[in-house]
Amino acid sequence: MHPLLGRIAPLLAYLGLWATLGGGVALVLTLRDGWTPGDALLVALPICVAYGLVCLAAWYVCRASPLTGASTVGRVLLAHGAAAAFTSTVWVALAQAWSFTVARHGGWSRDTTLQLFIAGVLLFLLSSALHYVFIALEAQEASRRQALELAVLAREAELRALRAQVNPHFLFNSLHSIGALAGARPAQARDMAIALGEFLRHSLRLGGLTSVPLRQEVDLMAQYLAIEQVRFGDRLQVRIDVSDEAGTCAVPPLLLQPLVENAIKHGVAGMIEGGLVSLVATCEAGECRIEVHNAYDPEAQPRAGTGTGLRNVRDRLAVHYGGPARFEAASRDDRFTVVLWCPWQVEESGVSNAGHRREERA
Amino acid sequence: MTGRPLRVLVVDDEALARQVAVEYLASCDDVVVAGECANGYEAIKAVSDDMPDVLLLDVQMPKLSGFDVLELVGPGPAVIFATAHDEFALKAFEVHAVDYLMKPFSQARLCDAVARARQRLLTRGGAGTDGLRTALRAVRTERLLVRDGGKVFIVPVETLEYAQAQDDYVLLRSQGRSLLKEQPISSLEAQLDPAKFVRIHRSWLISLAHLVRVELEAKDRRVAVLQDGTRVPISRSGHQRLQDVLGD
Repeated sequence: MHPLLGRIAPLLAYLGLWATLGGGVALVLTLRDGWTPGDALLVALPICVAYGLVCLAAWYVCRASPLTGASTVGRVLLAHGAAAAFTSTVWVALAQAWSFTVARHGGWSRDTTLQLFIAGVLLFLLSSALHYVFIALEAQEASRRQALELAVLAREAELRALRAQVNPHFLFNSLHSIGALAGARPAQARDMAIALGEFLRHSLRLGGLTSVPLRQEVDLMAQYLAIEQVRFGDRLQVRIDVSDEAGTCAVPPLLLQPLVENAIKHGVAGMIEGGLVSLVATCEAGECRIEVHNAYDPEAQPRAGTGTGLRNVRDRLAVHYGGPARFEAASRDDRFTVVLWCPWQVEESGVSNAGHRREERA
Repeated sequence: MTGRPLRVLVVDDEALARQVAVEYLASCDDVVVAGECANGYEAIKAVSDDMPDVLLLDVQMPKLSGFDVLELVGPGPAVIFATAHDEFALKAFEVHAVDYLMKPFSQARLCDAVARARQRLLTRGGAGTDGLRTALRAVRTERLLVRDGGKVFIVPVETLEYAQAQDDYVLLRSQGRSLLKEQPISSLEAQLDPAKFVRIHRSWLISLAHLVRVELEAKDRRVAVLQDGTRVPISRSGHQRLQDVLGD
């Protein structure tokens, strides 16, 4: 169906234009042909408005002979010319019949008839041209929307990929530590191999979910930090303080991973004496507040990759929660702090909920 | 070099990484561990106290990276880098590192690298080793490193007020302190942002941020007055460069 039909306001505006044209025709009939104004209006208005509706048919002709693709210019002109001539002929005949019926003006002069016919042809062709413009604009809008949708999909895919990744250097360094322990302290090497295995399994499992209770996310980070503590020894101190309510809050999985990784890479790892990494979460007034703090050396040269982790977290918050989530990163003195606020929605099921998979997209 | 074991200094900020290196080195042929350092400062101190033959250097360490240590130490010892990151390999090659070990590495791989270092030390004969520093100083930097014996000073470039060439050295003035660094002034100039630092004289380079005004002392003789009152002569071509940067 034609896009104007079914949309009341634009349709009325369109027919209003044709009614105006009808007024013009009535004026000509009155001044030139000596009709009474009443008769002229009674005849001209309906036939013009009716022709307005008929001219919408040009849309179908446009769709049947699109400007792109196989149709040649000749064929397009022929199609529209034939349609215009046919429509205008029928219109002129009906207009004369109507004029005779309502106003007893049966005998139209040849000039008037010819003028009306030519006007009809030209108006139909004008309508065709406008329809082509309309169709082109609509196609452009559609492709823009499609591009936008594709961009959103690509972004989501990218985020999924980012989330699934554990930094390979973490693995290399951990394996090197295990190798080092294997010589002198084999029992500790075994413990660390087990801890590393559990961390990886846990993160793969959480990574497949849409959202998880914060408690599980924090447990995962505790595992991660415990492994890093083997590497850094006394240089890495850890404090985790998550309230019971906050532990139930639903968060996207592995949200904290890049923050904790950064806290070590850009913080503690750059300090000779090392320092504290702390993870604090509380809930109040329907909102959860998650903080990651780390000591850092303000004079240290920024290491490569600054900013991508933070941007990733910010994007994931926006994708997951939309408006109500907030994100703030700030450094003061020798402390770097990232604070996240997200709506406190309780996650009941967690890992056991196998039906709650990421692949399930509406 | 023959007749005595190769002395290797192990530098890594992770205790376990040092431990495994020492353990591996114990069973390489003709090698002794000269010491263990947990950061770049300790490494500089150790090198200036007692020059080792080989440095086994971690790249990413607090304050001073492995490359910083190498720049400060100069071309004396042969260098083997050890890191979990592969992105520094090209740079390691440019600074003539003997080898580049990727963690985790095996004992055989480390002994192999040390054997290569021994070969390098035997054939080097002291020629052409300054290419190393040239390579390290070819890039724009945010901070300058100055070594005074076993001590290291870090000068962030934004605090650098001026530099004056003195024979093979350059005197750096920053925050009320003067430091002497073994580096040609032209090489220093290349490391700094030309929009912020201008060589206004053959022997002088100033920071525009610390420039107060330019005075005309006599016909064709100008001086730059800096914030701390220092008056620096401006040569004719130096004045041209200054005008180019200031845009008038």
